[in-house]
Amino acid sequence: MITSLINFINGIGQYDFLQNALISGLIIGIVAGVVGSFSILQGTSLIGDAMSHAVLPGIAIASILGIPFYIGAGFFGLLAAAIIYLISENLPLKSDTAIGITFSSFFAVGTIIMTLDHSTTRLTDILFGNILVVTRTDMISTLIISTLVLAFIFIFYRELYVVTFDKTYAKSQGINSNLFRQLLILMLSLVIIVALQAVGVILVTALLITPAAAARMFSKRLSTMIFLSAIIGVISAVFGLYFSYTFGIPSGPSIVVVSALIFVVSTIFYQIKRVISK
Amino acid sequence: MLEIKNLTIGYDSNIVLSDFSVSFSSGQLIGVIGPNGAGKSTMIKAILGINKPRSGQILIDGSKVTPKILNTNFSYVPQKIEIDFDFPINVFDTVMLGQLTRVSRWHSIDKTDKKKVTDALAKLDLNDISEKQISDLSGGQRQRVLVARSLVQQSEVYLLDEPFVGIDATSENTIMNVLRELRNQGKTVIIVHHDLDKLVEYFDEVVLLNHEVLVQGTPSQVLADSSLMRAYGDSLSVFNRRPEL
Repeated sequence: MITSLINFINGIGQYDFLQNALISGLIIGIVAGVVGSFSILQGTSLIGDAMSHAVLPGIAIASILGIPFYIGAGFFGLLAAAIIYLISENLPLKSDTAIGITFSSFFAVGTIIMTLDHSTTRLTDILFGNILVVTRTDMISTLIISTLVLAFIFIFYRELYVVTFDKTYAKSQGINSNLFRQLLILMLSLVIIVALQAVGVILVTALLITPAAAARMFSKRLSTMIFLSAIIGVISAVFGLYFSYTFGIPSGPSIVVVSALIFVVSTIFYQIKRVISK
Repeated sequence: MLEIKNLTIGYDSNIVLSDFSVSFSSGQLIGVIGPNGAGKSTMIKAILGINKPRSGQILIDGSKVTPKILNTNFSYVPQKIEIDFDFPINVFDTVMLGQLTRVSRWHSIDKTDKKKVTDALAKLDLNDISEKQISDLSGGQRQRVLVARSLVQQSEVYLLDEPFVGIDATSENTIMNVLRELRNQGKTVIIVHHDLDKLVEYFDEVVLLNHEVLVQGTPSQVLADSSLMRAYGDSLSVFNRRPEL
Protein backbone atom coordinates (compact mmCIF):
# COMPACT_ATOMS: atom_id res chain seq x y z
CA MET A 1 0.00 0.00 0.00
CA ILE A 2 2.69 2.47 1.07
CA THR A 3 4.93 1.45 -1.86
CA SER A 4 2.13 1.81 -4.35
CA LEU A 5 1.27 5.23 -2.92
CA ILE A 6 4.90 6.30 -3.26
CA ASN A 7 4.91 4.95 -6.83
CA PHE A 8 1.77 6.95 -7.56
CA ILE A 9 3.25 10.15 -6.14
CA ASN A 10 6.53 9.58 -8.01
CA GLY A 11 4.51 8.90 -11.13
CA ILE A 12 2.77 12.26 -10.79
CA GLY A 13 6.18 13.94 -10.62
CA GLN A 14 7.48 11.98 -13.62
CA TYR A 15 4.66 11.60 -16.10
CA ASP A 16 2.72 14.36 -17.82
CA PHE A 17 -0.22 12.04 -18.48
CA LEU A 18 -0.60 11.40 -14.76
CA GLN A 19 -0.46 15.13 -14.00
CA ASN A 20 -3.14 15.78 -16.62
CA ALA A 21 -5.23 13.00 -15.14
CA LEU A 22 -4.86 14.28 -11.58
CA ILE A 23 -5.66 17.89 -12.42
CA SER A 24 -8.65 16.86 -14.56
CA GLY A 25 -9.83 14.59 -11.76
CA LEU A 26 -9.66 17.44 -9.25
CA ILE A 27 -11.62 19.82 -11.49
CA ILE A 28 -14.22 17.21 -12.39
CA GLY A 29 -14.64 16.21 -8.74
CA ILE A 30 -15.35 19.81 -7.78
CA VAL A 31 -17.71 20.75 -10.60
CA ALA A 32 -19.64 17.45 -10.48
CA GLY A 33 -20.04 17.80 -6.72
CA VAL A 34 -21.38 21.34 -7.02
CA VAL A 35 -23.79 20.79 -9.91
CA GLY A 36 -24.79 17.37 -8.52
CA SER A 37 -26.00 19.00 -5.28
CA PHE A 38 -28.55 21.12 -7.14
CA SER A 39 -29.43 18.24 -9.38
CA ILE A 40 -30.31 15.74 -6.64
CA LEU A 41 -32.28 18.35 -4.71
CA GLN A 42 -34.31 19.15 -7.85
CA GLY A 43 -34.73 15.48 -8.70
CA THR A 44 -33.20 15.85 -12.15
CA SER A 45 -30.25 13.50 -11.72
CA LEU A 46 -31.59 10.80 -14.02
CA ILE A 47 -31.87 13.29 -16.87
CA GLY A 48 -28.09 13.35 -16.57
CA ASP A 49 -27.99 9.58 -16.94
CA ALA A 50 -30.00 9.72 -20.13
CA MET A 51 -27.90 12.57 -21.47
CA SER A 52 -24.62 10.76 -20.87
CA HIS A 53 -25.77 7.70 -22.82
CA ALA A 54 -27.21 9.79 -25.62
CA VAL A 55 -23.89 11.48 -26.45
CA LEU A 56 -22.16 8.24 -27.52
CA PRO A 57 -22.83 8.57 -31.29
CA GLY A 58 -21.42 12.10 -31.09
CA ILE A 59 -18.19 10.82 -29.58
CA ALA A 60 -17.97 8.03 -32.17
CA ILE A 61 -18.49 10.37 -35.12
CA ALA A 62 -16.11 12.96 -33.66
CA SER A 63 -13.43 10.28 -33.37
CA ILE A 64 -13.91 9.22 -37.02
CA LEU A 65 -13.83 12.83 -38.24
CA GLY A 66 -10.95 13.72 -35.95
CA ILE A 67 -12.72 16.64 -34.29
CA PRO A 68 -12.76 17.25 -30.51
CA PHE A 69 -15.12 14.75 -28.83
CA TYR A 70 -17.01 17.39 -26.84
CA ILE A 71 -18.30 19.03 -30.02
CA GLY A 72 -19.85 15.75 -31.17
CA ALA A 73 -21.08 14.97 -27.65
CA GLY A 74 -22.60 18.42 -27.26
CA PHE A 75 -24.39 18.18 -30.60
CA PHE A 76 -25.91 14.77 -29.89
CA GLY A 77 -26.82 15.79 -26.34
CA LEU A 78 -28.88 18.68 -27.70
CA LEU A 79 -30.37 16.49 -30.41
CA ALA A 80 -31.45 13.93 -27.80
CA ALA A 81 -32.98 16.66 -25.63
CA ALA A 82 -34.94 17.98 -28.64
CA ILE A 83 -36.22 14.51 -29.55
CA ILE A 84 -37.25 13.79 -25.95
CA TYR A 85 -39.13 17.08 -25.90
CA LEU A 86 -40.85 16.42 -29.25
CA ILE A 87 -41.95 12.91 -28.22
CA SER A 88 -43.33 13.88 -24.84
CA GLU A 89 -45.09 17.01 -26.11
CA ASN A 90 -46.67 15.58 -29.27
CA LEU A 91 -47.36 11.92 -28.56
CA PRO A 92 -49.54 10.40 -25.84
CA LEU A 93 -46.40 9.27 -23.95
CA LYS A 94 -44.89 10.45 -20.68
CA SER A 95 -41.42 11.95 -20.50
CA ASP A 96 -39.81 8.89 -18.84
CA THR A 97 -40.86 6.84 -21.87
CA ALA A 98 -39.47 9.48 -24.21
CA ILE A 99 -36.19 9.55 -22.26
CA GLY A 100 -35.98 5.74 -22.19
CA ILE A 101 -36.50 5.32 -25.94
CA THR A 102 -34.17 8.14 -26.93
CA PHE A 103 -31.16 7.44 -24.77
CA SER A 104 -31.12 3.67 -25.38
CA SER A 105 -31.47 4.13 -29.16
CA PHE A 106 -28.73 6.75 -29.27
CA PHE A 107 -26.51 4.55 -27.14
CA ALA A 108 -27.13 1.57 -29.45
CA VAL A 109 -26.34 3.60 -32.56
CA GLY A 110 -23.15 4.89 -30.95
CA THR A 111 -22.02 1.35 -30.08
CA ILE A 112 -22.66 0.17 -33.66
CA ILE A 113 -20.71 3.06 -35.18
CA MET A 114 -17.76 2.41 -32.89
CA THR A 115 -17.76 -1.32 -33.59
CA LEU A 116 -17.94 -0.80 -37.37
CA ASP A 117 -15.07 1.63 -37.06
CA HIS A 118 -13.06 -1.13 -35.31
CA SER A 119 -12.41 1.14 -32.38
CA THR A 120 -13.36 -1.35 -29.68
CA THR A 121 -10.45 -0.41 -27.40
CA ARG A 122 -11.59 3.17 -27.55
CA LEU A 123 -15.14 1.95 -26.95
CA THR A 124 -14.10 0.44 -23.61
CA ASP A 125 -12.38 3.71 -22.70
CA ILE A 126 -15.49 5.69 -23.56
CA LEU A 127 -17.86 3.36 -21.75
CA PHE A 128 -15.84 3.01 -18.56
CA GLY A 129 -13.52 5.98 -18.65
CA ASN A 130 -9.78 6.19 -19.01
CA ILE A 131 -8.55 9.25 -17.26
CA LEU A 132 -4.98 8.31 -18.17
CA VAL A 133 -5.50 9.17 -21.86
CA VAL A 134 -6.56 12.73 -21.03
CA THR A 135 -4.33 15.10 -23.02
CA ARG A 136 -3.18 18.57 -22.02
CA THR A 137 -5.69 20.07 -24.49
CA ASP A 138 -8.51 17.99 -22.95
CA MET A 139 -7.44 19.15 -19.52
CA ILE A 140 -7.52 22.79 -20.59
CA SER A 141 -11.01 22.42 -22.14
CA THR A 142 -12.15 20.74 -18.92
CA LEU A 143 -10.76 23.67 -16.95
CA ILE A 144 -12.43 26.29 -19.15
CA ILE A 145 -15.85 24.64 -19.28
CA SER A 146 -15.81 23.92 -15.54
CA THR A 147 -14.85 27.50 -14.74
CA LEU A 148 -17.78 28.74 -16.81
CA VAL A 149 -20.17 26.37 -15.04
CA LEU A 150 -18.91 27.38 -11.59
CA ALA A 151 -19.08 31.08 -12.52
CA PHE A 152 -22.70 30.65 -13.60
CA ILE A 153 -23.56 28.99 -10.30
CA PHE A 154 -21.72 31.64 -8.30
CA ILE A 155 -23.43 34.54 -10.08
CA PHE A 156 -26.94 33.06 -9.98
CA TYR A 157 -26.58 31.27 -6.65
CA ARG A 158 -29.56 32.99 -5.01
CA GLU A 159 -31.90 32.33 -7.90
CA LEU A 160 -30.80 28.69 -8.12
CA TYR A 161 -31.16 28.33 -4.34
CA VAL A 162 -34.73 29.68 -4.31
CA VAL A 163 -35.78 27.86 -7.48
CA THR A 164 -34.42 24.55 -6.16
CA PHE A 165 -36.08 24.89 -2.77
CA ASP A 166 -39.46 26.30 -3.77
CA LYS A 167 -40.02 27.00 -7.43
CA THR A 168 -43.63 28.20 -7.05
CA TYR A 169 -42.54 30.83 -4.55
CA ALA A 170 -39.63 31.77 -6.83
CA LYS A 171 -42.09 32.38 -9.68
CA SER A 172 -44.29 34.48 -7.41
CA GLN A 173 -41.28 36.72 -6.82
CA GLY A 174 -40.77 37.30 -10.53
CA ILE A 175 -37.92 34.77 -10.93
CA ASN A 176 -38.12 32.75 -14.17
CA SER A 177 -38.05 29.31 -12.50
CA ASN A 178 -38.34 27.29 -15.70
CA LEU A 179 -35.47 29.14 -17.32
CA PHE A 180 -33.20 28.51 -14.34
CA ARG A 181 -34.16 24.83 -14.19
CA GLN A 182 -33.35 24.47 -17.89
CA LEU A 183 -30.06 26.31 -17.48
CA LEU A 184 -29.17 23.94 -14.67
CA ILE A 185 -29.84 20.96 -16.94
CA LEU A 186 -27.54 22.63 -19.48
CA MET A 187 -24.84 22.91 -16.79
CA LEU A 188 -25.45 19.25 -15.95
CA SER A 189 -24.87 18.33 -19.59
CA LEU A 190 -21.64 20.35 -19.71
CA VAL A 191 -20.35 18.60 -16.59
CA ILE A 192 -21.20 15.22 -18.10
CA ILE A 193 -19.28 16.07 -21.25
CA VAL A 194 -16.16 17.14 -19.36
CA ALA A 195 -16.37 14.14 -17.01
CA LEU A 196 -16.89 11.58 -19.79
CA GLN A 197 -13.22 10.79 -20.35
CA ALA A 198 -12.54 10.19 -16.70
CA VAL A 199 -15.62 8.25 -15.69
CA GLY A 200 -17.09 6.96 -18.93
CA VAL A 201 -20.56 7.15 -20.43
CA ILE A 202 -22.13 4.45 -18.26
CA LEU A 203 -21.01 5.69 -14.86
CA VAL A 204 -20.78 9.45 -15.25
CA THR A 205 -24.08 10.11 -13.43
CA ALA A 206 -22.69 8.35 -10.36
CA LEU A 207 -20.13 11.15 -9.98
CA LEU A 208 -22.96 13.67 -10.09
CA ILE A 209 -25.28 11.84 -7.71
CA THR A 210 -23.19 9.95 -5.15
CA PRO A 211 -20.93 12.68 -3.68
CA ALA A 212 -23.93 15.03 -3.40
CA ALA A 213 -26.04 12.32 -1.75
CA ALA A 214 -23.23 11.56 0.74
CA ALA A 215 -22.82 15.29 1.48
CA ARG A 216 -26.56 15.57 2.19
CA MET A 217 -26.07 13.22 5.18
CA PHE A 218 -23.87 15.79 6.93
CA SER A 219 -25.50 19.03 5.77
CA LYS A 220 -27.99 21.39 7.34
CA ARG A 221 -27.45 24.09 4.71
CA LEU A 222 -27.25 24.10 0.93
CA SER A 223 -23.89 25.90 1.02
CA THR A 224 -22.41 23.24 3.35
CA MET A 225 -23.80 20.50 1.14
CA ILE A 226 -22.25 21.98 -2.01
CA PHE A 227 -18.89 22.46 -0.30
CA LEU A 228 -18.79 18.92 1.17
CA SER A 229 -20.04 17.43 -2.08
CA ALA A 230 -17.16 19.07 -3.97
CA ILE A 231 -14.67 17.72 -1.40
CA ILE A 232 -16.12 14.21 -1.62
CA GLY A 233 -16.04 14.50 -5.42
CA VAL A 234 -12.35 15.41 -5.30
CA ILE A 235 -11.51 12.59 -2.85
CA SER A 236 -13.37 10.11 -5.07
CA ALA A 237 -11.57 11.30 -8.19
CA VAL A 238 -8.08 11.32 -6.66
CA PHE A 239 -8.33 7.98 -4.86
CA GLY A 240 -10.15 6.49 -7.83
CA LEU A 241 -7.30 7.59 -10.06
CA TYR A 242 -4.79 6.11 -7.63
CA PHE A 243 -6.50 2.70 -7.63
CA SER A 244 -6.92 2.84 -11.37
CA TYR A 245 -3.20 3.56 -11.87
CA THR A 246 -2.02 1.03 -9.28
CA PHE A 247 -4.22 -1.92 -10.20
CA GLY A 248 -4.64 -1.22 -13.90
CA ILE A 249 -8.45 -1.00 -13.70
CA PRO A 250 -10.61 1.46 -15.67
CA SER A 251 -10.78 4.82 -13.90
CA GLY A 252 -14.60 5.16 -14.07
CA PRO A 253 -15.53 2.14 -11.93
CA SER A 254 -12.62 2.90 -9.64
CA ILE A 255 -13.81 6.49 -8.97
CA VAL A 256 -17.43 5.39 -8.61
CA VAL A 257 -16.61 2.64 -6.09
CA VAL A 258 -14.67 5.11 -3.93
CA SER A 259 -17.61 7.54 -3.92
CA ALA A 260 -20.04 4.69 -3.17
CA LEU A 261 -17.93 3.67 -0.15
CA ILE A 262 -17.98 7.26 1.10
CA PHE A 263 -21.75 7.27 0.64
CA VAL A 264 -22.16 4.06 2.68
CA VAL A 265 -20.02 5.45 5.51
CA SER A 266 -22.05 8.70 5.41
CA THR A 267 -25.38 6.90 5.74
CA ILE A 268 -24.06 4.96 8.74
CA PHE A 269 -22.94 8.24 10.29
CA TYR A 270 -26.39 9.71 9.59
CA GLN A 271 -28.23 6.81 11.22
CA ILE A 272 -26.01 6.91 14.31
CA LYS A 273 -26.51 10.67 14.64
CA ARG A 274 -30.28 10.23 14.37
CA VAL A 275 -30.39 7.55 17.04
CA ILE A 276 -28.27 9.67 19.39
CA SER A 277 -30.37 12.81 18.94
CA LYS A 278 -33.59 10.92 19.77
CA MET B 1 -57.10 48.06 -5.25
CA LEU B 2 -56.21 44.77 -6.94
CA GLU B 3 -58.16 43.96 -10.08
CA ILE B 4 -58.45 40.97 -12.38
CA LYS B 5 -59.95 41.91 -15.73
CA ASN B 6 -61.32 39.45 -18.30
CA LEU B 7 -58.94 36.67 -17.32
CA THR B 8 -58.99 33.40 -19.24
CA ILE B 9 -56.69 30.67 -18.02
CA GLY B 10 -56.28 26.92 -18.44
CA TYR B 11 -55.61 24.42 -21.22
CA ASP B 12 -57.70 23.84 -24.34
CA SER B 13 -59.54 20.90 -22.86
CA ASN B 14 -59.86 22.49 -19.44
CA ILE B 15 -60.47 26.23 -19.22
CA VAL B 16 -60.57 26.92 -15.47
CA LEU B 17 -61.50 30.59 -15.57
CA SER B 18 -63.03 32.23 -18.59
CA ASP B 19 -63.46 35.99 -19.04
CA PHE B 20 -63.18 36.25 -15.26
CA SER B 21 -63.19 39.60 -13.46
CA VAL B 22 -63.02 40.52 -9.80
CA SER B 23 -61.59 43.30 -7.66
CA PHE B 24 -60.24 43.35 -4.13
CA SER B 25 -59.97 46.50 -2.03
CA SER B 26 -57.08 47.16 0.33
CA GLY B 27 -57.35 47.20 4.11
CA GLN B 28 -59.57 44.12 4.02
CA LEU B 29 -59.20 40.52 5.06
CA ILE B 30 -60.68 38.72 2.09
CA GLY B 31 -61.65 35.06 2.08
CA VAL B 32 -61.89 33.18 -1.21
CA ILE B 33 -64.09 30.11 -0.98
CA GLY B 34 -65.55 27.64 -3.42
CA PRO B 35 -65.74 23.90 -4.08
CA ASN B 36 -62.71 21.83 -5.16
CA GLY B 37 -61.64 22.67 -8.68
CA ALA B 38 -63.49 26.01 -8.65
CA GLY B 39 -60.33 27.87 -9.69
CA LYS B 40 -59.30 29.40 -6.35
CA SER B 41 -55.60 28.45 -6.54
CA THR B 42 -55.62 29.12 -10.27
CA MET B 43 -56.80 32.67 -9.62
CA ILE B 44 -54.08 33.24 -6.99
CA LYS B 45 -51.41 31.81 -9.29
CA ALA B 46 -52.61 33.97 -12.16
CA ILE B 47 -52.34 37.10 -10.00
CA LEU B 48 -48.78 36.12 -9.13
CA GLY B 49 -47.77 35.31 -12.70
CA ILE B 50 -47.06 31.69 -11.73
CA ASN B 51 -49.49 30.40 -14.33
CA LYS B 52 -49.62 32.41 -17.52
CA PRO B 53 -53.14 33.42 -18.56
CA ARG B 54 -54.34 33.08 -22.17
CA SER B 55 -55.77 36.56 -21.96
CA GLY B 56 -56.73 39.22 -19.45
CA GLN B 57 -55.05 41.71 -17.17
CA ILE B 58 -53.98 41.96 -13.55
CA LEU B 59 -53.89 45.53 -12.27
CA ILE B 60 -52.76 47.07 -9.00
CA ASP B 61 -54.07 50.59 -8.39
CA GLY B 62 -54.69 50.85 -12.10
CA SER B 63 -51.25 49.77 -13.35
CA LYS B 64 -50.24 46.43 -14.78
CA VAL B 65 -48.59 43.92 -12.41
CA THR B 66 -45.10 43.25 -13.79
CA PRO B 67 -42.40 40.85 -12.46
CA LYS B 68 -40.77 43.93 -10.92
CA ILE B 69 -43.96 44.84 -9.04
CA LEU B 70 -44.43 41.22 -7.96
CA ASN B 71 -40.92 41.32 -6.56
CA THR B 72 -41.55 44.47 -4.52
CA ASN B 73 -45.23 44.44 -3.59
CA PHE B 74 -46.60 40.91 -3.54
CA SER B 75 -46.07 38.16 -1.00
CA TYR B 76 -47.20 34.59 -1.45
CA VAL B 77 -47.74 31.76 0.97
CA PRO B 78 -48.05 28.62 -1.16
CA GLN B 79 -49.75 25.43 -0.08
CA LYS B 80 -47.42 23.38 2.11
CA ILE B 81 -47.55 20.54 -0.40
CA GLU B 82 -45.63 22.65 -2.93
CA ILE B 83 -42.52 22.78 -0.76
CA ASP B 84 -39.70 20.28 -0.45
CA PHE B 85 -39.36 19.86 3.30
CA ASP B 86 -36.38 17.50 2.81
CA PHE B 87 -34.31 20.44 1.67
CA PRO B 88 -31.31 21.17 3.94
CA ILE B 89 -32.42 24.48 5.43
CA ASN B 90 -33.32 25.77 8.89
CA VAL B 91 -36.19 28.01 9.99
CA PHE B 92 -34.11 31.22 10.08
CA ASP B 93 -32.74 30.74 6.55
CA THR B 94 -36.17 29.86 5.16
CA VAL B 95 -37.55 33.14 6.46
CA MET B 96 -34.41 34.94 5.20
CA LEU B 97 -35.33 33.75 1.68
CA GLY B 98 -38.20 36.23 1.82
CA GLN B 99 -35.62 38.97 2.19
CA LEU B 100 -33.08 37.43 -0.27
CA THR B 101 -35.47 37.62 -3.20
CA ARG B 102 -36.01 41.31 -2.44
CA VAL B 103 -32.44 42.61 -2.38
CA SER B 104 -29.89 43.00 -5.15
CA ARG B 105 -27.77 40.00 -6.14
CA TRP B 106 -24.63 41.58 -4.72
CA HIS B 107 -26.13 42.81 -1.45
CA SER B 108 -24.73 40.73 1.37
CA ILE B 109 -26.88 39.94 4.39
CA ASP B 110 -26.45 42.61 7.05
CA LYS B 111 -27.84 43.44 10.50
CA THR B 112 -30.96 45.14 9.12
CA ASP B 113 -31.86 42.00 7.15
CA LYS B 114 -31.30 39.80 10.19
CA LYS B 115 -33.37 42.11 12.36
CA LYS B 116 -36.30 41.89 9.93
CA VAL B 117 -36.10 38.10 10.06
CA THR B 118 -35.90 38.00 13.87
CA ASP B 119 -38.92 40.33 14.11
CA ALA B 120 -40.97 38.16 11.77
CA LEU B 121 -39.94 35.03 13.70
CA ALA B 122 -41.01 36.68 16.97
CA LYS B 123 -44.45 37.59 15.59
CA LEU B 124 -45.04 33.97 14.64
CA ASP B 125 -43.60 32.61 17.85
CA LEU B 126 -40.73 30.83 16.11
CA ASN B 127 -37.66 32.28 17.82
CA ASP B 128 -37.09 29.21 19.98
CA ILE B 129 -36.88 26.94 16.96
CA SER B 130 -35.07 29.24 14.52
CA GLU B 131 -32.11 26.83 14.22
CA LYS B 132 -34.26 23.75 13.60
CA GLN B 133 -34.30 22.05 10.22
CA ILE B 134 -37.66 22.49 8.48
CA SER B 135 -37.86 18.71 8.04
CA ASP B 136 -38.18 18.42 11.85
CA LEU B 137 -41.17 20.76 12.19
CA SER B 138 -44.85 20.03 12.76
CA GLY B 139 -47.47 21.09 10.20
CA GLY B 140 -48.43 24.17 12.21
CA GLN B 141 -44.80 25.23 12.66
CA ARG B 142 -44.13 24.80 8.93
CA GLN B 143 -47.10 26.99 8.09
CA ARG B 144 -45.95 29.68 10.54
CA VAL B 145 -42.50 29.62 8.89
CA LEU B 146 -44.08 30.22 5.47
CA VAL B 147 -46.15 33.10 6.83
CA ALA B 148 -43.03 34.57 8.46
CA ARG B 149 -41.23 34.38 5.11
CA SER B 150 -43.94 36.53 3.52
CA LEU B 151 -44.17 38.87 6.51
CA VAL B 152 -40.48 39.76 6.29
CA GLN B 153 -41.12 41.21 2.83
CA GLN B 154 -43.36 44.04 4.02
CA SER B 155 -45.48 43.88 0.88
CA GLU B 156 -48.72 45.58 -0.05
CA VAL B 157 -50.57 42.44 -1.11
CA TYR B 158 -50.52 39.09 0.69
CA LEU B 159 -51.91 35.98 -0.96
CA LEU B 160 -52.26 32.81 1.09
CA ASP B 161 -53.34 29.48 -0.38
CA GLU B 162 -55.18 27.32 2.18
CA PRO B 163 -52.94 28.27 5.11
CA PHE B 164 -55.09 26.56 7.74
CA VAL B 165 -55.16 23.05 6.31
CA GLY B 166 -53.77 20.44 8.69
CA ILE B 167 -52.47 22.77 11.39
CA ASP B 168 -53.12 23.12 15.12
CA ALA B 169 -55.51 25.71 16.59
CA THR B 170 -52.72 27.70 18.30
CA SER B 171 -50.81 28.11 15.04
CA GLU B 172 -54.04 29.11 13.30
CA ASN B 173 -54.68 31.81 15.93
CA THR B 174 -51.12 33.12 15.75
CA ILE B 175 -51.34 33.38 11.96
CA MET B 176 -54.77 35.04 12.09
CA ASN B 177 -53.48 37.69 14.50
CA VAL B 178 -50.59 38.51 12.19
CA LEU B 179 -52.98 38.77 9.23
CA ARG B 180 -55.33 41.06 11.18
CA GLU B 181 -52.41 43.31 11.99
CA LEU B 182 -51.52 43.50 8.27
CA ARG B 183 -55.12 44.37 7.45
CA ASN B 184 -55.06 47.14 10.07
CA GLN B 185 -51.96 48.55 8.36
CA GLY B 186 -54.04 48.88 5.20
CA LYS B 187 -52.60 45.88 3.30
CA THR B 188 -54.64 43.66 1.02
CA VAL B 189 -54.84 40.16 2.47
CA ILE B 190 -56.43 37.44 0.34
CA ILE B 191 -56.84 33.95 1.77
CA VAL B 192 -58.04 30.86 -0.04
CA HIS B 193 -60.06 29.14 2.64
CA HIS B 194 -60.85 25.46 2.56
CA ASP B 195 -64.26 25.36 4.22
CA LEU B 196 -67.17 27.51 5.33
CA ASP B 197 -66.16 27.40 8.95
CA LYS B 198 -65.18 30.65 10.70
CA LEU B 199 -66.04 32.89 7.75
CA VAL B 200 -67.72 35.47 9.97
CA GLU B 201 -64.97 35.34 12.57
CA TYR B 202 -62.08 35.68 10.10
CA PHE B 203 -63.05 37.79 7.11
CA ASP B 204 -64.29 41.28 6.29
CA GLU B 205 -65.27 40.19 2.83
CA VAL B 206 -65.86 36.83 1.18
CA VAL B 207 -65.74 35.90 -2.50
CA LEU B 208 -67.56 32.72 -3.49
CA LEU B 209 -66.07 31.22 -6.65
CA ASN B 210 -67.05 28.47 -8.99
CA HIS B 211 -65.30 29.25 -12.29
CA GLU B 212 -66.88 32.69 -11.92
CA VAL B 213 -67.65 35.01 -9.03
CA LEU B 214 -71.01 33.76 -7.71
CA VAL B 215 -71.26 36.30 -4.93
CA GLN B 216 -68.99 38.81 -3.22
CA GLY B 217 -69.89 40.54 0.04
CA THR B 218 -69.73 40.35 3.81
CA PRO B 219 -69.49 36.84 5.25
CA SER B 220 -73.11 36.88 6.41
CA GLN B 221 -74.33 38.04 3.00
CA VAL B 222 -72.46 35.21 1.32
CA LEU B 223 -73.64 32.63 3.84
CA ALA B 224 -77.24 33.73 3.31
CA ASP B 225 -76.98 33.69 -0.49
CA SER B 226 -78.73 30.94 -2.42
CA SER B 227 -75.74 30.50 -4.74
CA LEU B 228 -73.81 28.95 -1.85
CA MET B 229 -76.04 25.90 -2.00
CA ARG B 230 -75.68 25.75 -5.79
CA ALA B 231 -71.89 25.93 -5.63
CA TYR B 232 -71.35 23.34 -2.96
CA GLY B 233 -74.39 21.14 -3.56
CA ASP B 234 -74.50 18.16 -1.25
CA SER B 235 -71.05 18.80 0.14
CA LEU B 236 -72.54 21.57 2.30
CA SER B 237 -72.19 19.10 5.14
CA VAL B 238 -68.73 20.71 5.55
CA PHE B 239 -70.62 22.82 8.09
CA ASN B 240 -70.66 19.88 10.45
CA ARG B 241 -67.15 18.74 9.79
CA ARG B 242 -64.77 19.85 12.48
CA PRO B 243 -66.30 21.15 15.69
CA GLU B 244 -64.11 18.94 17.90
CA LEU B 245 -60.78 20.66 17.16
